[in-house]
Amino acid sequence: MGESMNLFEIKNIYKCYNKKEKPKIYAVYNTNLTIRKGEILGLVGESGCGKSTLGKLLLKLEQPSRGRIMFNQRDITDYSFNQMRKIRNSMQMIFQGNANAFNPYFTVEQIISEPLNNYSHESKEKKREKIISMLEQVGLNQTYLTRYGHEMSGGQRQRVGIARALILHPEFVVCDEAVSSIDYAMKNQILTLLTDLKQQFGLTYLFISHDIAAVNKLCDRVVVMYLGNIVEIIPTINSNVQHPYTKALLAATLIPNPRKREKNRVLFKDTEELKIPEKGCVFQNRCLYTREVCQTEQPALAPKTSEHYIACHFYHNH
Amino acid sequence: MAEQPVLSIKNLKTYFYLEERVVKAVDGVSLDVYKGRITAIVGGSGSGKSVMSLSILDLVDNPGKIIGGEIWLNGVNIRDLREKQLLKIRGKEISMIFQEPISSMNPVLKVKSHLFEVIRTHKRAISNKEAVRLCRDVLVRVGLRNTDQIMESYPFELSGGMCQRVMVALGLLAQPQILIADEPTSSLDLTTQAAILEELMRLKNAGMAIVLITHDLGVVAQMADDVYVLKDGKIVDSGTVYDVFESPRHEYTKALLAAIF
Amino acid sequence: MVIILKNSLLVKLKKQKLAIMGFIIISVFVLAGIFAPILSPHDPYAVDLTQKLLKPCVDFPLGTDHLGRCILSRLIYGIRTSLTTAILATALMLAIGVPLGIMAGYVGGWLDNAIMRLADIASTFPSSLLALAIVGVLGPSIVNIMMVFIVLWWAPFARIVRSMVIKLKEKEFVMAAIAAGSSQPSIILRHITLNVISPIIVLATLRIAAVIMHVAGFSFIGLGSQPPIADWGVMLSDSRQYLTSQPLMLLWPGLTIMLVVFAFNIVGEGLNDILSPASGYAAAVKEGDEHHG
Repeated sequence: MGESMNLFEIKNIYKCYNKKEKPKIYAVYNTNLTIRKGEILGLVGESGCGKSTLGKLLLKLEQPSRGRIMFNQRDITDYSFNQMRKIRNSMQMIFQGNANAFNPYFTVEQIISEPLNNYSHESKEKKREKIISMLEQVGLNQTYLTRYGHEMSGGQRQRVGIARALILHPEFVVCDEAVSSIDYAMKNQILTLLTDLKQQFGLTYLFISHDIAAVNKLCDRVVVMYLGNIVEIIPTINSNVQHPYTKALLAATLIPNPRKREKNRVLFKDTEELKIPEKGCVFQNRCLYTREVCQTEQPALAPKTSEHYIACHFYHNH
Repeated sequence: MAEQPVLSIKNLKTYFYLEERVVKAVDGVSLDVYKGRITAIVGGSGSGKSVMSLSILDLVDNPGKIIGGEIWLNGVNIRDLREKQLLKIRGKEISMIFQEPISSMNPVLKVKSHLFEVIRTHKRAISNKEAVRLCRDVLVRVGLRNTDQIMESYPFELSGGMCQRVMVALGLLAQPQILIADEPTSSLDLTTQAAILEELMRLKNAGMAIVLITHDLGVVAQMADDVYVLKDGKIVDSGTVYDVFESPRHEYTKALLAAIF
Repeated sequence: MVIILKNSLLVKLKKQKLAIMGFIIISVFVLAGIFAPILSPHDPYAVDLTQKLLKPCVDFPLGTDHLGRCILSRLIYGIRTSLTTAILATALMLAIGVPLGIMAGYVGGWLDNAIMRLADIASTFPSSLLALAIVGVLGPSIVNIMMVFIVLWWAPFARIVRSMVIKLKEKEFVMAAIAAGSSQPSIILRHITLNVISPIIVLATLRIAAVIMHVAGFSFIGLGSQPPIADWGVMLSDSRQYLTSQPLMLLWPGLTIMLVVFAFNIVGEGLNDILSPASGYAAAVKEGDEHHG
């Protein structure tokens, strides 16, 4: 259980999109994270929290403005496009299955062939066999090979996306809102599929979602982000969440059980100003427990137990 | 519950007449809406729920047509009314808010103009000063604080949550009895959704009748009093929220509930 | 939703009928141009002053011009000059504009800036001025006029391609291609270029129509084809003096230009519907699946 089991280590990562303007707006701010081999790490937060950006940074689909990314103990931060190409078969991404997920001119066969052709030197027949086998594993039969993206439903597209990501048997897969655009019935199927494939291929997942229920079902550890910062890392999302934002998020989650109605679902200040504060804690404007120190000093992500990390002054200085 | 429903729909039928065939979007729907209660209409995409809500206010365009049924509001069958009389109903007796708050507003008009348009339609005679006061009041009622700043803003300057609150405010201005909310929080963040739903709850507790149309069973479970399940234009299940969640009768309802985890 | 989309399928089919009609018209013209020597009743250059300004008759189906030349024959031979130059010019415009647009959009930065500033110059430069300049130096001819358009009109293509590429870069499938380990050239060719081509083809057909009109215009004022070349613009120009004595001299070339331009325009619009992969029909089918599935 030592350092060698860390698949990813991110140190002090920043990502800023408007470098020339002031004030700089960071999509991801001073983030540290380790991802262990074989785990399913959940990453939750609402829109604008930076979770998608973080996922892309891991795969170097975005270049960090500052900080270092280590993959399998190798520093890949400064890897060029072509250096990254050599290792991309170990790290893949499942995108949301919407209309932009595939080249509109590509058939399913071409979509799944693309990664395969980049890394495999097998014969055409062998490759085709692999593709058909992968499709079957995600529950789609051969007839799908000639279909186009827009001829399939959201659930089918999602599954093709999974096939595309897994055809190379990568070590690590980022699932970016992989079940967000699917209805209830299909969600269950896809989550089960992801779990099965993980067992089968020994994968490590980063599961990014705003759907707390799905994260609950699937993940081992959960990272909670707010406006570019990690505010809490929890062993399981049911364990005692401590950060005010996580509490607010959970309270806002609507449980589909009419007998379990929460009276108070709004555990935050509704000021509606979603500005990133210049200094201090990033949640200060909406937190119910804001004090002076929260407005001046950014709280560090400190451990409560060896697995549970919280970035909050109120919590640590109680 | 010997109370009379404030809105009663009987056997409503809205069909779309296309060149090759007829699509029966709403095919014999009957439901009752009561004051001070939230009535949820649950259905997936293609179930006809949006067409149904548009039918109530006769907002369905060609090639769709309401071809049958009655809509009783306060003892009057509003299907018998002509357009001129319907104008008095829309916004005044029954108000509606939609899914994408930002696209529900005119991007080149300030919030103030939107609010004033509603006021001028239903309360022509009041002075500007009175109108501004009304606007401030209704904005505060939906939980917005810097009302003056918001009135002077354009829709794109507001967040999704704020826009939706403005939409609710627009819906409340003429003090309707019934508010129809068609997927009001689908496009919003979780926390913003919680805040908007709390507003709706507050309105319900103050006596308003709310029709909540959604596909999200979480929303239904937490908000609704009465539930109607819609599939392919027909009501397949109905009852109180406890009835539907705990003793579903139709296969479709059972399937929906089974898929929740 | 299903309803609205299925409606548009019908509209699409109707539009396609129009496009097919346009395509037939263009094909007829192209074939006529190719088989001009067989189809023309007379030599377009044969001058016979005893037959001048005749009305349409058995010998001369569209009549004759002021030099006794058969108008129909001149129209048919005129196809060769007008259509060839228009198609050639447009092809060259695309050959310059599309790659520049793709580079500008995909690479960005200083290259984008440089190309766009070039495009700015090209699109704001007055075509008539340039035409006069070129003709002044190289002499009037249809080829020289063609050059004017190539030098100026690549710019709108570059601009449009550039903005399409910028939008495409952000789409998930491009990111997926990078994640899949594809090389930059492969991404540019298969993902970017492929998705840019069909809207460009549509624009190109519309541009051909515009070139035909503009070249005719320049020939009309004497900067393009020179007489006695059978060119529609020249024919229009010649007809000016004889407006009262033989208005048909104006009518026939005018109608021909109008017809060809119209044909290209509707083909262009029809192609737009046909070539977009996520067409209304497919989307409607998908919605239907979700509804029942």
